[in-house]
Amino acid sequence: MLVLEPQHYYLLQQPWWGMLIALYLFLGGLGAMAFCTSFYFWRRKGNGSLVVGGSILGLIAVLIGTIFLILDLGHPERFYLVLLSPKLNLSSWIAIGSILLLAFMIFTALFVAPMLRWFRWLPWAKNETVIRTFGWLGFITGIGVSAYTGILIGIVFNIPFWNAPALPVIFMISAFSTGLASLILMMLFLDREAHEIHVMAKTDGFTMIFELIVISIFLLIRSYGPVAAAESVNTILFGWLAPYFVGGVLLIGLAIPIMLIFGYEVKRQGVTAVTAISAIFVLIGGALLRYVVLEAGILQIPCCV
Amino acid sequence: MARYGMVIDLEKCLGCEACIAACVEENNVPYEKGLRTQVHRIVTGRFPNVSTIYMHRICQHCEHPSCVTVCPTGASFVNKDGIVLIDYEICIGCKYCMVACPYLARYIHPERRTPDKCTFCEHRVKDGKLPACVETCPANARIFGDLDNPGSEVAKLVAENRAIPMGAEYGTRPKVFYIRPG
Repeated sequence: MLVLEPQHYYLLQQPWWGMLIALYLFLGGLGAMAFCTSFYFWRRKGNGSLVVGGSILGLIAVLIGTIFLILDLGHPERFYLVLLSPKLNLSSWIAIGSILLLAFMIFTALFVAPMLRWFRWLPWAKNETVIRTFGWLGFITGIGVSAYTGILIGIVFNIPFWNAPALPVIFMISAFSTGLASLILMMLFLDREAHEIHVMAKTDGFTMIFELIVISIFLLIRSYGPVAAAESVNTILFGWLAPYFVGGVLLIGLAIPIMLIFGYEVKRQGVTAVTAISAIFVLIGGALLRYVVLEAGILQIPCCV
Repeated sequence: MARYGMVIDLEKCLGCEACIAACVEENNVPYEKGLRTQVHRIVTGRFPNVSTIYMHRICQHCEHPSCVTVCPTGASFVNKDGIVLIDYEICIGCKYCMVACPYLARYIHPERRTPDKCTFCEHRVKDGKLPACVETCPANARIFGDLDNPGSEVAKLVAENRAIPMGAEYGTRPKVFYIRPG
């Protein structure tokens, strides 16, 4: 028997989107921003292996994220309908996002292919204007992909914790931060003498300070929001999600890397274990952030008239 | 071209759940896995002044349905009679509609692997019959009809403001209305 007062709401944690979608949101943002950063270094005539490796890393991350997204469907074999349905609804953010994902993957592949040994025969391999155009298109759709992951869940008005303008901003900042961390890790394997590693580590430090501020303000404002939003904030700060959020996102994902980067990284020459550890921690924190936000999505369902 | 709606008279409802049984039988609904129509017992007031009402939860067939807005493939759609339906053949099962529905009207059908929900028994209505739950209800607590026809009982109850929507604050303009017990 349910004992309730009228005009109250059912508060129910959304049970439909879980780990796979969280991994997709993480990898989609990471891949998009890893490419955008690589493109920035390409424009600055930066380290070659960073540009090529980062572009491929971004492409593969988004591709794996998209595969997770497809696996989450009730009918994975019908995934093509998201672009080819006879009644395609272009105002749906899943349709818009799928177009952005596909465009991003195509443009980044066209951008990076002529830089690889096996694809030198491509007609635009010698034409820098064409490569630059593909790069810019990949950059713009990459910004779109990283913004879209937050907009997708941000428009759900009956989950007030998600329905906040700051959420896509947090996801974009986190995407940039995890994108930089993934590039740093990659460069430790490819070329650990590159000075870009330090530029990226320092940028990542400032990005994470900004992220910490935006997340704090977001939680503060949402705790004054509708009952379900206040309940979500309560759950991630003091409830069953607190170990993941306070321990995983705030401590491992933000506080420790910020301290490591500004305490050790910027003061020393050369790559140290600190560089690698802080980058790994940033990636763990970024993935947990998506998971926590999805799990903390509490539906506010009217229960009576 | 009609604009079908339903009025649920909570004063008449006995909580017998015959509507659920009729719906399960009519629409091949998996009783253990999900329901198209639910009846929740809600206790109001403080001892000794308590009372019980049976709150019915079905798809509200909104005029601005958020499930249709978010559906990427157009599988969720509004038909010409204002009934919100699912085209199971082009649904990919992304569950965006389930997240976006503020009335928790949908469940995953285990055999179809797509969301499923109340259809106002569209297959019966187009033959001029009433939905199964409406026909079954022993107390006549569920009233079905065309909201655009000023002579219909539902249109009158809504026009008199005796029947009110649930969760109007979400702005989806539901076409299911409730009469509060006096």
